[in-house]
Amino acid sequence: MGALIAAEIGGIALAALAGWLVLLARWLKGRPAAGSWLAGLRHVPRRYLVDVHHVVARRPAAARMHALAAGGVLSGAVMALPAGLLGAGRIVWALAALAFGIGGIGALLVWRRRVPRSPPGLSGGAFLWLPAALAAWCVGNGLAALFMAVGAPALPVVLAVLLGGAGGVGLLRLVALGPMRHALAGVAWLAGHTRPGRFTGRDTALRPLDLVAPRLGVLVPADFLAPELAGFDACIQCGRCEEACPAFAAGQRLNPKALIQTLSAAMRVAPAAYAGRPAPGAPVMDGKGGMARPIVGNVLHRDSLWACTTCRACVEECPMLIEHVDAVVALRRGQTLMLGAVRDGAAQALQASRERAEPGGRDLAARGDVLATLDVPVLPPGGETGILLWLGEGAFDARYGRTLRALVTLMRQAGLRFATLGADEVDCGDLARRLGDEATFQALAAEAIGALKARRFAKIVTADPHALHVLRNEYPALGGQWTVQHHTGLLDELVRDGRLRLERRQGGSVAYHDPCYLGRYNGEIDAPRRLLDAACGGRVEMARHGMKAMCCGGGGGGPASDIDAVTRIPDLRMEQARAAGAGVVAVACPGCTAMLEGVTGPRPEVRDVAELVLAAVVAS
Amino acid sequence: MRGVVLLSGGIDPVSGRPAVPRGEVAAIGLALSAGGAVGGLHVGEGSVAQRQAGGYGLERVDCLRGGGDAVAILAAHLSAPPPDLVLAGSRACGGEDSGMLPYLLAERLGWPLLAGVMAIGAVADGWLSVTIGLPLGARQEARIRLPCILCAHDAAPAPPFVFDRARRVVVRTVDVSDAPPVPVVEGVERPYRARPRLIGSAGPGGGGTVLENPEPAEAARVLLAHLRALGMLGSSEGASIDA
Amino acid sequence: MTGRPRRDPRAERARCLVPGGVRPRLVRAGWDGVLTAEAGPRPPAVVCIEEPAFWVAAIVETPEGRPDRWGRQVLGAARVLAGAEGGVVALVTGVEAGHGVGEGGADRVVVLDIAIGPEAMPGVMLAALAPFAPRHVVMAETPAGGDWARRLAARSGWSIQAGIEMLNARQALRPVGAMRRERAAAPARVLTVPIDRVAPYGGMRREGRGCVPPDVPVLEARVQVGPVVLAQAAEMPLAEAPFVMAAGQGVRDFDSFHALSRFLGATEGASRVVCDAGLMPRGAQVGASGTVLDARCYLAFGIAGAPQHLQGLGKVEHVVAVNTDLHAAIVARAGLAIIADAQAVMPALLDLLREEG
Repeated sequence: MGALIAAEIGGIALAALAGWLVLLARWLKGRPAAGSWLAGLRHVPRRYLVDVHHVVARRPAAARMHALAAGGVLSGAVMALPAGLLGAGRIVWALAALAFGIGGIGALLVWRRRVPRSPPGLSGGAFLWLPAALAAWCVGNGLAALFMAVGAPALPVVLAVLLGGAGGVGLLRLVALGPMRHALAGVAWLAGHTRPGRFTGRDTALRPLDLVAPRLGVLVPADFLAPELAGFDACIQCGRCEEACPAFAAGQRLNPKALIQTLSAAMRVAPAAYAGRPAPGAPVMDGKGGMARPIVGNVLHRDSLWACTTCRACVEECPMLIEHVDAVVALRRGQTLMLGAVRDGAAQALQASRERAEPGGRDLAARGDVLATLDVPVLPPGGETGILLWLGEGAFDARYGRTLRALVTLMRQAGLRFATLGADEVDCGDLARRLGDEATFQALAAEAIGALKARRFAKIVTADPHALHVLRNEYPALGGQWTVQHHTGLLDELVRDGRLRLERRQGGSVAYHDPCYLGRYNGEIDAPRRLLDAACGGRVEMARHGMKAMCCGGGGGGPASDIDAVTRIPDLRMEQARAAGAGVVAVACPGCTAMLEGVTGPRPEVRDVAELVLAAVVAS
Repeated sequence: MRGVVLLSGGIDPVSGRPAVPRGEVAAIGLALSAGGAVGGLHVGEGSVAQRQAGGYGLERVDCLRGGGDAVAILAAHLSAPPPDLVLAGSRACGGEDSGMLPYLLAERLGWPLLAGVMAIGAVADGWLSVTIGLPLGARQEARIRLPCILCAHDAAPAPPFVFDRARRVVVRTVDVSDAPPVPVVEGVERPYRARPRLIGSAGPGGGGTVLENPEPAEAARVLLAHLRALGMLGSSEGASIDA
Repeated sequence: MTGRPRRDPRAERARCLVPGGVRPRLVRAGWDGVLTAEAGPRPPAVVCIEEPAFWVAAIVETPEGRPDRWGRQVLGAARVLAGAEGGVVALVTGVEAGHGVGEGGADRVVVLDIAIGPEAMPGVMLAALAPFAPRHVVMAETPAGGDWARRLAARSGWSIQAGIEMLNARQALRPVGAMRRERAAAPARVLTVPIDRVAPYGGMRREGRGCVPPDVPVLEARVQVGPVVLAQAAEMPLAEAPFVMAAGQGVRDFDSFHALSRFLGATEGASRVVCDAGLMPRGAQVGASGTVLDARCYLAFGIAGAPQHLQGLGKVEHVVAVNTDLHAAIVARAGLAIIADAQAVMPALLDLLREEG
């Protein structure tokens, strides 16, 4: 009888392994990734149990369900299989029965998840069969193990094995043809994750593209890296990404879950139907999939690609650690570099970046005009200074000029020695890179690195988190390595060292809006808050803050691409600030400033952290 | 149809960096819309701008290296064998910038020329139909005998820039025999200084008239008089009422 | 009287001086046509010149029967070059051509047939100019004028300076090298002037004696030009439209708004809020994230003027605003601001326009 159980479980396991190999063969049609995929397998248990669990556990109910269901199904099988094959005592069978029983409770929780009411972020379709299949597998095999443990006659065992086998076949079907391939793909994706740095620290920089490669970026599924393809299959459609996505919330034609599912389906000629929420308002793209068939405009709507603000909120929320933004940028690279198919506004910004080294097309010599009254020195090539102040694109904006003047005034008061690059400061290339124009990015980066290398300074300070991210995290791969600090970090340092003394100003409550490129991309969420606590009366938090903060809509070339929306992202964000009872929204990024200042009607005031600090500073 | 696009030095007015002038991008777009092989032609050493022109759709750019009059060099190069169509931007960017080159070339080759071309249509009996763009969105249909020279309107549709094309364009340097020198341009050259335009009574700086809480009829009267004074209503008023 | 207001050059000049002074007022802006609206007494005398020392020719387009602002500036430039000794001959193309050319500063007028195609034009011009043997020929750097000037220079081999930004009798100054450098040199034989660079003639009226146009030499036409198709304001691309009328939050009655735009012959625009609300199509959005205008006049109803919106006004010369808020940003940008409810002003304006027929 034990052999029968082992044959049933082993058969299902072997079939699953065969299914995994079929999937693997498909993923391997993608481009080879750097490093050994096989060697990565040794990391999988740790990545599953620590990193994945860390994200899953943000929702305890989901973590419980997952632990019970996946744990029970797997551990029961792992115990019953050798027990049946080698013959084992009743205790082992009892333990296996217990494990399957736990799995059964897990199946119940899986069922409860969508009954009586399914949360809108969850997909339906084949998922509705999952609790039944899980229950049949666990109950059938659990009873069989129990019967073995108590020494029951053959007939009940056979019936139980039949039930378990039916559940197993159901699970197999869901795995091989349906969404539960997540289980198999997840192992492969975690083994070959394209950002291994995430498991030891932070890894958010885009990788440089080899500009002489025949195919730049991604046009067809086979252009993705093989592990990335496994990553798309690893999506379990939990919908956490779409709940976090600002573009989705604003009604733009992007749903990160649908995007990943589309990319997964794009590999297949006859994919399983997607039963989650689609991208809002996007026409159905019913082109034929296949490894060598175009993705954009065929199975994926163009607007989905350009609506992304690259805010990484989806990546932050994804329990499978899928890299949505990498996929978006890879696709954008294909569209931009290979086809020139970008939105009009983005095309203008890219042309200006190419021809004027400034996405707004303005004269580089006019960047410093905003500081004209403050007489900030310009560092000539060969010169030396303490701090190099990188002004960024915001310097061309009159509103943001107030912020920069506040920062310079504070730096003066603290007695710092600093200078700017003057007309030698080109755009850092952030916009070009996020829009997929890696060629222009690398050209700008080379020029900026050259200008910086020609001067000596202790560190770079910038008020622009986008420039911060590019200079700090993305230039090293291109040969430029400096200490780069955000202005909130610098001011925090000055206040803590006592070089700036602040006196708390009373006034309306202040809510800090985290810039994505400072928070999620660089993990800096505390310094600005410390500053605000020292400078302002009451500080409140919006529901989404810190690493979970919502984007202002200004990143990733969003304003340049200007995708149709139902509401504007900054309007949504301002509404959240209002809901938190904020009288002032504190910002720390020129993009956020412009987007939030663009909200019309009565609303909380928008002030940069530097402005609020300047208002609170007292002579030391 | 074989088209050739004339490429100038290509300097961006704001940054001074190499850039394909808008009109030349439009010319490339027109050439592509006419179909057939499209090449670029530049007198002088090739630069980044010529390579960028490839990004807009030119497969090949020939840089004619030789001293002397560019018109003579071009005329000699274009006469054997002559293409069907020569296209240029509204004016070059980075040199004398007078916009004379296509006209001088047309005169020398004895070809007809049309400027301000917005779109290229079909060819019939050796005549090419084109659409000319006029101010305020007006359009004019015209026909011109081939071979001919067309100057693109700056607002003619521009093809997208594709990096993949720019990196694959073949830029070829062709040594040509020297042409007779051009007469030296007299005068004093210095950095450009923006000069204010003519005197007016109000401008973008603001500081205009403010009329506070007038009666609607009074407001309407003032508004209409102001618009009329600005010349915005002009003679088209009657026509627009009928429309 | 034709009902068309007469220009008074002296009053114009007086208005162009700083108050109480003799120094001309400098404003970083375009010419304001308000000046022409001033009616005044006609200059009494007419200057006649029989045998000038030399001739300077001006080619003037008169699409509406008389030289427009630009045309008068071309004549002004010719007068600068002619000085006291020289005479100015105007070659005029257009319907009912010849009016107002004497006031503009021309001693002689030759009316050319407007139907002359671009290819025949240099030949016709050379024939018309031959009796005068002009020292200089001045044209407007309009699409047509620029084209004629280059054809003329290419045909005749005359030197040309296109796009003069400053002119006196001894030298002309023009940008070269992608507008990054400029060159000052003695005026060339052919010159073209962009708009608002050279002042119109402000002296006493010249004779403007009509001369017989030349016989047009027949050319083998290699170019055939069809009729001009004017664009309807409503269909004009917003970025190209010369006159844009836009609605903001202060506009609720869009039927009046549309009716008004038809009456005024203006292209419709809107603020972002109005487009977001679906009251106007997205393509009508003016601003940094919509269309950046190149219009001459922008008439804003109920628009406060958020920074992103004002960025969309780009080079707009004249802003006219109707808004309830005196402190709105657009009021500071406007040449004429009416602090009133747009909802009340629009019907009043419609009534007035209907009344005037």
